[in-house]
Amino acid sequence: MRILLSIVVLLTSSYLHAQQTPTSYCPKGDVIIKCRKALVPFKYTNMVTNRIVFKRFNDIKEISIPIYYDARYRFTFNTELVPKDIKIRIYDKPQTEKKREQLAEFESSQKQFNFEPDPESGLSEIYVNFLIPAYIAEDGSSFIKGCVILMTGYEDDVSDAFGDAEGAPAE
Amino acid sequence: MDKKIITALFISTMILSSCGEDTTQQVSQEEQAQNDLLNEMAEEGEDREPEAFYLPSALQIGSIFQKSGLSYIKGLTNPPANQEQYITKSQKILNFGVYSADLAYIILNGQSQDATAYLKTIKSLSDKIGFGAVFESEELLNRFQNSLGNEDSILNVMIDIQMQTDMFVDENNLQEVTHIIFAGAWIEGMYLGVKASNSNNQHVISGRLVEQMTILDNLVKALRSNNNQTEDIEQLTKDLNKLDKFFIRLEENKNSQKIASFRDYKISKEHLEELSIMITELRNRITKV
Repeated sequence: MRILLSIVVLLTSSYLHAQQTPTSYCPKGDVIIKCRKALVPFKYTNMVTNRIVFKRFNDIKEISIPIYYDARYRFTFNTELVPKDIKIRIYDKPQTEKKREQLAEFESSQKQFNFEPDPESGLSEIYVNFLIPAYIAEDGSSFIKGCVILMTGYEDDVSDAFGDAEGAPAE
Repeated sequence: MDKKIITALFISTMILSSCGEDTTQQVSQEEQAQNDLLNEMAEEGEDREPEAFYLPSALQIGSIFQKSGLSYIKGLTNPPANQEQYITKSQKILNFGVYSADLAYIILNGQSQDATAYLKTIKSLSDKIGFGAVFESEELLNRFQNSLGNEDSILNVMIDIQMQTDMFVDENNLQEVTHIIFAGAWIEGMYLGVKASNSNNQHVISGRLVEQMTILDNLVKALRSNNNQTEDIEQLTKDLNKLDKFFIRLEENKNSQKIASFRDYKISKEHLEELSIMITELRNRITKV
């Protein structure tokens, strides 16, 4: 009976763990305000919460971002909610391509940073790689989690009259 | 995963059947094996963190087309009255997206007399799909009303609505719903692009239509990640995947001509016609009453 009980407890805890809402480990109220400020004068178009899970092995998580050829973009990354250091690299092609160019690299310790792709590059997509190092939690069993907020803004013709986009600096 | 569950159940059965025996050491080993297996399953579960799919806003898509000279044609958008006749949840969610794209098209073309009816339709559908909280603020609706006629102000209100929607989705883990909404908005945006282009702007618009299809890969992946697909969403995903394959053909064609950017790519008349037919069929299936 003791074993039956232990199975029930383990299955229940696994289930509850899986149901844990991202908001519980990713309280982003203030972070969103900081990102919004950093985006000015670009127009907001989208926000993505990238969940980061530190596993017992090194991991690279990739997302692709379609971009329009003559739009000017600002991508604001906020890494305040990542509990351990990670690297963020931006490429012109996906991981599956042998030849790809790295467009930018950031450390999560920078907390917040902007990336603005060259509108003349002709790229229709960029690829963001999150390099998550292996990590084992103190208790040896659980996983630590965090999130990177990525907010995107774009500029249109109106902004041309103001010259280069010089918004509020990333905090 | 199924194999693991079967194995876990098998081990559980074995352990339970041995409960009556006085073999403490054996039980301990089995208990350890059970714990290891469950831990491994939990670890696999961690891999299934919700994936993030990057999709732009309906407003930005509308803005891209508008900048390319897309004209306004009255009667092209989905009539607000149709919303009453959408019965299933999938229909309501998809058409929430359709009306969002329509509202962007109307506002970007300065047709503020129609905007209120579309916002009311979106609000009404939002209540039915669990997004009511985004539109419940009287202040937001008042700002919208007061901004009608002032393009910059109304765009700011639209951007705020988009941001509040994104935050609501994020806080409530509604990403799967928002992917379906985006599918509706994207298809409607493409439909408007196909139908509202004319001989003067067709070259620019068709380049934009092809460029829009770079989003398809992300959209199809996002829809496929949905764990609770209904039959109609499954069909929609298949249709969008077909469209994505068509886009890959166009992209190969572009690359074979050593053209770097879609800005310089000229789609053939036949391909444009094929694209137009596919988009129109898809859109009409979603909006039909």
